[in-house]
Parts: sequence; C-alpha cells; structure tokens
Amino acid sequence: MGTDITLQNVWFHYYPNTQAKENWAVKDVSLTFSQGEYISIIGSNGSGKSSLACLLNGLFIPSEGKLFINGTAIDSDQDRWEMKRRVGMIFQNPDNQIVAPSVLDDIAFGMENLGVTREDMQIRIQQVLQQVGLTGFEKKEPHHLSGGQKQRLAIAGILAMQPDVILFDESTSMLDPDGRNSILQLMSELHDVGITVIHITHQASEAFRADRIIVLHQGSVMLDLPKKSLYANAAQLDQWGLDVPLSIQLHQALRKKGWQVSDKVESEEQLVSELWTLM
Amino acid sequence: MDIDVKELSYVYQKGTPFEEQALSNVSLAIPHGKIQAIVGKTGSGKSTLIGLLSGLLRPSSGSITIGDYHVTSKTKKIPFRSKVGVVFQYPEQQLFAETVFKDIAYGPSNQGVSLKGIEDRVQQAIKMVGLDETLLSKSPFGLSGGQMRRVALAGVLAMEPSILILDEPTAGLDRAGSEQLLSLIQSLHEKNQVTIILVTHQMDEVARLADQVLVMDKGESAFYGTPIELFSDKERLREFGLELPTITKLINHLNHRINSPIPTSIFELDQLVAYLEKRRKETENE
Repeated sequence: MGTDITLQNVWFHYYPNTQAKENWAVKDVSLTFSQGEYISIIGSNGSGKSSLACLLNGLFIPSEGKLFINGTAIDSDQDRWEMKRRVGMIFQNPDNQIVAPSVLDDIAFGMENLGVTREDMQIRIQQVLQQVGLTGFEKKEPHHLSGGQKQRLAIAGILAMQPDVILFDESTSMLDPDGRNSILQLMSELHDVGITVIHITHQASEAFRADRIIVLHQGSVMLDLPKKSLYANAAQLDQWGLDVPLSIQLHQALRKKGWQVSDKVESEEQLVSELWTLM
Repeated sequence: MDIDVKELSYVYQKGTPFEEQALSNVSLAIPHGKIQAIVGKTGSGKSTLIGLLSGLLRPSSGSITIGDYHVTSKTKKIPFRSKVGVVFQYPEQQLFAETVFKDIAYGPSNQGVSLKGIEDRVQQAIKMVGLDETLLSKSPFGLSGGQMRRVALAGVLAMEPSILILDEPTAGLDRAGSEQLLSLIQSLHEKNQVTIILVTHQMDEVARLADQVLVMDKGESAFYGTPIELFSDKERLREFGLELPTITKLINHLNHRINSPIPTSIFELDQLVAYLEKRRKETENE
C-alpha cells in the first residue's frame, strides 16, 4: 500500500514565538509525495531544505499546518513514530550516522529498535548488504571504510528497516567523485524497486537525475515541475542562487546571438542535435 | 618563493607492522605566483604531499626546496613552516576562540607579531575574505557555514603566507559560497602574488583556475602538466578515476555529431560561444 506524504500549508520555525512569520524556515508549503516517485529538492544554503526534510520524517513538528500519511493526519507521538519507521533519512556526514563497531552490528541497530527477530535480521542483513554492494564487509570496522562505503552502510541500515521512503539530505556533498557516483547510482536502483527517493541537494547536475524537481527559496516552494519542463525553465534557477546547467547557458547565449534554435529545449540531447544541423 | 620538490617519498609508521608507503618519488616544480592543482582519488597521497609541503611531515627521502630553504630527511627544524599557510578541509571545524577577532589573531600572535601589528593584520584579513568588520566582536559559532569558512581562511591569511595550500576549499558550499571563495583565491593570486596549491575533486575548478595540475595515483605522480593536456585524453582520465570538466563533457557531446571537432582547450562558456559564432559565419560564407 505504500506511503503517500502530504503537507498542507505547513509552516515551521525552531522558536516560532520569537520571529516574524516572514523569517520562518518553512513558509506555507503544500506538497504531495506519492509512493515510488524520484524527487529532488534544491535550494541554496538557508533555503529551508533540511528543515523540510526533518518535517517529512517526523523529526520536526510543523509549527502550523498539517501533515498526512495516506490521508491520515499525523498528530500524536505514536503517529510520528510510525512516520519515522516509514521514512528513513541519510545525512550529509558519513561519520555522524555510524553507531556500532562492525558493519554487521551497525545494520542490526535499527532493526533491534524495531524488535525484528534474530532469524529475520540475518536474512535482511544479507539482502541489504547485497543491495548496497557491501557483501563480505560484515566483520569490517566502519572507520576503515571509505566515505562512499560509509554512506552505503548507512543506507543499508535504513533499508534493513524496510522503509517506503528514503530522504537523502545532501548525502553526496562530502564524498569524492567515485563515492558520489556510487550513491547516485544506488538512488536510481532504490527508485527502480519502488522506494520513494527524495534527494535534497544544491547541485543542479545531481538534481536533474530525478523525475520531479522542487525548488525552495527562503522557505517557500518556487517551482515544482517534472524534469522535462524544468529543463526548459532552468534559466530561472539563477535568481535563487542555483546552478544553471551549462548546456542551458549555452542555449541562451546562442539565442541571444540570433541562432535559430527552438526557444524551449527539453534536454541537452535536443540542443546538441539542433546545433549540429546548424553547423 | 619557487617550490622545487625532488623525488619525494614518505613512509608512515616506518619500522612497525603498520608501515605504509604513502608517497613515492614525487617531483614537481611550482614557480612563484602560480596556481598548482593537485587531484587524485581518496587515498592517492594528496594529503601526505600537503603535509610535507607545509612542513608538518618530514620527508622519508628526497627533498623540498622552498625559496632558500632546503628540507631533507635529515632536517631537524623545518624552516619554511611560517611561510606556508594551510586551509584544511572543513576549516570551520577548527574555529575555537570566543570572538572572530581572537580566532583570526591566534596565528599572528604565535608568530610574535606586535599587538598593533596583529590588529592591522586582522583588519586586513577580514577585508580580504569579504566579511564585515562588525563580525569581529561576534562569536564565530553564530555565523553561517560559508562565513565560518571565510573566518578560518582569514586566520591563515593573517599569518601572511607566501604559499597558500587549500584542501577542497569549496566542499559543501552552495554556488554563491563557492563563487565567492573561488574569486577570492583568484584575487589573492593576482593582487598579492601568493602561490596557490589547490587540492580538489572539482575538475571545473581545475579547468578554470589552475596553471598546472598534478595527478596523484597510489602515492605516485601519474601526470604532471597543464589542464589542457590533462583533459585532452579521456581514456587516461578514466584510468585516474577523474571526471571531465562540465564544459569539456558538453564539447565532447557536440563533437560526437560534428565533423571537424571543437577544440577541448576551451574552458570558458564565452570562448565556446565565440568559437561557435566563428564557425557558423565561416559556414555561411562558403
């Protein structure tokens, strides 16, 4: 049955009574995330991305507005507990989310808290190790792993709890290119098996891997578009302090010089084929 | 101060079961005032090389010459330490003082600079990194991540190094933060003639800033030359586990379709646009 999350006019501030509402971290956000989607949330530092992430898995409670899972309002601590079970979260710093002295124990930690039986744990551990590509690492000490491997271990620990949704909060920003690519690849694989992937980032190049892209700026949603439509509107990203993909910058520059290219392109591929015919 | 590194090697925990050769026979020459990029995968020896160049580690063999100072495995006190400033990865984690002023002043006060001198240097450093003077009396821990990083950088600049080593200076910053930092590096290089050694995973930064680039692989120097040379060979780059700069990827994408290829020595969008314009005009005149 899965997990659909709906935010209805959600506002958030750590100390809501101390600040005027225009300075709040999340301002009047209404969004729906359906089971199986692959979504990127982009925004510059301080845009409210991480606050939104914490709202989505019950770490923060909306100061105003409502949150629903499959149409049922999340009100009590019991509801939020259930929400945390359904929505797993991977943080930015790989060193901050490892709790046990071995890979095996680290994956078991979350399951222990859920009361999973030993037999079931053993099966799940092998499954998730294979899923993240760490089979054979059971006895390793986490501090001997590379950054990318640590992030994959963190993902394995979350997967073992069998969530419907995984939130990645800038989970690639501290990794080298190899580690980064392995995590991005894993996100696609998780999406392929039906898990909702929500990737929070400020890198446009990473965001464009998702099917749907949400732009946050000063706590509010500026855009919420499928990737295809965003590509055509990506020049706007600049005003919110975000990267505009280079191919779009090129497209715009050439149009200004009077090149006969279509006014809206949907992908780099399309731009390349148009330019080729002109040369 | 020119830097000349000859057949430099370093072994960690020599003579123990944990002995590990982290660097073997690396040579490089960095003329004064240049921007040298050092790239390579995690574990390729970049950090060891930085440790040696900054005088935190002593070579196991080989030599480092910086200006008139010469260091070998026999050197007791490394003489160039105060000339080389290092901004480590995530330098904001190293802030410690109760005010921004005290944090920036810590380095020069250890160098024996007079009180008045320290005051001047702090003022100058905070200006260089583009932060407001009113922040000097504030706690560094109340600042944003990007501001904290610039305070940490100011603390190194206040020591007036002639050589500045930056280890992934833009990691984790958003576009505005990265842009500010890269422009700052460029202006330090141009106005103050500081030699810059930039360790990075970002090939866009290498293409944009570096005069020369060293690729480290398994503790050895795998490539030493200009960015244009490095990015001209896609296969070799893949062997090193490195990516192409975004603009080079785009040019290669275009080159799949175009008969006479666009040169991959173009690293700026303006240059690419100008080049394409020229090509189009030529085609029209034919």
